[in-house]
Amino acid sequence: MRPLIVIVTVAISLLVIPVAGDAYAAEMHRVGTLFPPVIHKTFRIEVFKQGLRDLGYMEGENYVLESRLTGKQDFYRPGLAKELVSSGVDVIVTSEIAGGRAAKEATETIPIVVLNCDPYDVLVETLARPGGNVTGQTCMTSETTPKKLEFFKMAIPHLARVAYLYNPKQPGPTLGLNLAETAGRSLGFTVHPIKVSDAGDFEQAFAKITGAQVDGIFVYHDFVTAGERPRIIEFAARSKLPAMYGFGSWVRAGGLMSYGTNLAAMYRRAGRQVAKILGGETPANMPVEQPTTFEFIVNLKTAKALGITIPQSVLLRADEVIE
Amino acid sequence: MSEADTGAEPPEGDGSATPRSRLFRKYALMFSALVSTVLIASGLVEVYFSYQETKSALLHIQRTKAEAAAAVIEQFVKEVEAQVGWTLHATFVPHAEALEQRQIDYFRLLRQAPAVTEVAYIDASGREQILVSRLVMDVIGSGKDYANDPKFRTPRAEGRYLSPVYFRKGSEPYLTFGLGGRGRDKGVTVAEVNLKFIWDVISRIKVGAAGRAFAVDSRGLLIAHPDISLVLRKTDLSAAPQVKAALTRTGAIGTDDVGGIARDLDDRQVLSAHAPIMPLGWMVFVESPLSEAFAPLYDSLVRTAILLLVGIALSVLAALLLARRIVKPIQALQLGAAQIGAGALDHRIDVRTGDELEALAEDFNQMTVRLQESYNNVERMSALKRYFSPHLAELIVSSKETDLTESHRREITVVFCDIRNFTEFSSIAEPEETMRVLREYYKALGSHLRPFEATIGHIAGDGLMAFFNDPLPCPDPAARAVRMSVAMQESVGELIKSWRKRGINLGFGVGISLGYATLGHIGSEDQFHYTAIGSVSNLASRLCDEAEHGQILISEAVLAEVDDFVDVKSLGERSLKGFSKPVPVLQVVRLKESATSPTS
Repeated sequence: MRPLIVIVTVAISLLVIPVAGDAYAAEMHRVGTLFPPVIHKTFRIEVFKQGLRDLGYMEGENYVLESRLTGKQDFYRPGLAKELVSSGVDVIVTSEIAGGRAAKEATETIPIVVLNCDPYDVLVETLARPGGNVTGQTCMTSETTPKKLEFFKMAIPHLARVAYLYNPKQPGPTLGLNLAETAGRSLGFTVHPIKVSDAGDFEQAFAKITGAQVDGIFVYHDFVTAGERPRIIEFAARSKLPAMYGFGSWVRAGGLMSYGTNLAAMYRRAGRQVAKILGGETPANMPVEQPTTFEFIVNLKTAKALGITIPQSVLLRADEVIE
Repeated sequence: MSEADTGAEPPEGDGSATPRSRLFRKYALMFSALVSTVLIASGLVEVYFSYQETKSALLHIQRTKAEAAAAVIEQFVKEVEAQVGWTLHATFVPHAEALEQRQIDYFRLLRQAPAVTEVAYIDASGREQILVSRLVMDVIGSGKDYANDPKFRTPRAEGRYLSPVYFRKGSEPYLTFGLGGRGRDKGVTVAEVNLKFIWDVISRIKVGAAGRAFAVDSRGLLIAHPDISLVLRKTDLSAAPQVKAALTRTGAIGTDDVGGIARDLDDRQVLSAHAPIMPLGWMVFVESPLSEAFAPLYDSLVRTAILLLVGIALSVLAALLLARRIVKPIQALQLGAAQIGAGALDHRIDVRTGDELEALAEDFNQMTVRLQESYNNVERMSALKRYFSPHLAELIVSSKETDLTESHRREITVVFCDIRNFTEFSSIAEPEETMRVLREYYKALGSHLRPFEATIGHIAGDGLMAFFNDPLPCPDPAARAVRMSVAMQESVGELIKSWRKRGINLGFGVGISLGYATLGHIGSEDQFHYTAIGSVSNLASRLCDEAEHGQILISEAVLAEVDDFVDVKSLGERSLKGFSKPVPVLQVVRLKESATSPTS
């Protein structure tokens, strides 16, 4: 009898312990992030974590976030990416082509998820099958530049001279500029490029805009311009200039209007992609996801402050109107 | 008795009967095996049938879910169709105004139908008049020629057009939806529908805990799946057996054709059912992991198994009890018989089952009683054999005379006989010759002693003393004595004649007396006789001494008893040693009748 009890006890413990162990000895994954510090302060990082939660990954339980931040403007310094790699992360999450490039330089094997709004050609083979270790989300900022300008012109019919505020060091904004110039020709306005490469350039840029006597500002959203969002909005208000932005967060912060995809949805989808990678999928076969919805958002309060009346037909197309 | 308990087995008759006997095991095993077999067989049959039934029921349920999913997707498509349809209206207004109206309608459409990315109007001649888009700039009056494009021709011909699924930028699933104008409007409205919105619909379809619903188009390309990246990868499922089978079938689908067990993309076994999304020619598949889909079946299997085990356990218990009840009386019989066989003849088998076994035990007990009786008789016999001839011993035993060891007094008839000149003869003859003579002599005597049921008192050399009426009383002891003596004389007379031929001269004489004697055993514990003491013995002995060859001398007391059938001759009175007065001696001359046969 006694040997039987021993055997049964041993068998049961062998069965139970691994099962119980599964709950605890679950691998602690390390998710490396390479974002501008501002992102960590916004809702976006929370939404990103929500995306991971959707597929069962809880911060602290199955993964920890590992960030490399820098106070300076070179958020996507390759050195930072290399630091993440050497600290042994399982996946790197970053934004913009710059971040994607830096991460790709640092590693060819660790999966990289990029939230990027510019053409992906430099990072992947095709959107459907990236083929390497990079995948991510796109928001098509550069491609929708003409559409944004169309909305801008529809809302501000007298628009004739548009300042195009952009970061010339990145390919997206530059591509957008070309598209903007083409659009301007068919829509009937001229485009005046205003370059800003880092935070220090803005004073000069604002001066140039005032000097160019434009009727509206078009801001190309990337990490440089995004880093100075309050300043830009405040400048536009001060100069009584209508402005077209890339994301709704600007409009809610006081900008006049924006047309772009839903950033929160994008970050959440990115979170889900990271979760799938942690679960074992390879980025080579994980398609880059395009946005599903675009929002045209108008801030009527700002319009009132600018003394502009936006035509009804335009408001008809708005997905959100802030009063 | 059972075969198991006989044969070369060492006897278990030590009285300590445990239920662990072979017969018990045999019966217990037999009963349990029988009941278990029946249980298992019926369980298996039930399992087989319920498996089939449950499988088809679950498949049916899965099919219902697939139909529901198909309905949901159809609904989505119908809604888009309806929303696009709202933009249609008969054109009674001049062209330019109609265009503006249309543009406003399209703005509204884009607001209300998030799935529509672009909508365009192609006029009756096949030229594009207006294009409103979310991604690219709106185009008014481009005049692009779509006259030969299916998206223009099909709605004109059939009213509606659904293009095959295509991918924008290689990874975004779209379809082109064309709707022909109503009434006088011969133009066509074309909408580009982003199928990622079907993904929303599909991913909201709950199929249990781990099941999935997905849709493929008529070519087997995945167009909707909870994991959108599979769609974006343009996964081709046309090779999957369940997809192939579903797509190649045309016409009505029978209930047994709606699906079955297949393997999904992760190569897990799933229960797959499908339903068509009719206007589109698409197919919706609903797949649940087999373990989940069949969970109720597995549950019922486990239930059946548990019940089976419980049933078997109970049957084993019942078998043990039943076997015990059968085997115990048999064991009692076996042990009882063993004990009796070993000699405990007072053992009685106690079996009270009220059936044949109890009757058997009773028969056994009766047999034992008789056995005991006969054993007792045998014991008595062997005791008696010390004293009497076997024949006489039997007679005594059967007459139930008890306690012959006690001395008692009775009137008996004593017969003494011996051989004349024997002493002389034995001293000169060879010992072998003497023994031979004695053997023949006693054989002859014995042949009469037995039939007359004489009790042999003692034998000494050639002298024999026998008596009648003890221990077995008889009605005519004197008559028997005389008749026996006459018979003896005849037989021995023949012997004497034959001896004379051999040159042996011997004679035979008999003396008979009647009177009271004391009878009992004399001698030591292991060697003793049963004999008679008294003057009657002495008298018979003296009479024998007096008898010459061929003479049978009897006393007056004897004559009194045999007077009727014996002729006697008086020989006067003789003085005999040990008797104070001379005793009248009579000689038996002959028997009056021819009755020399024994009287019993």
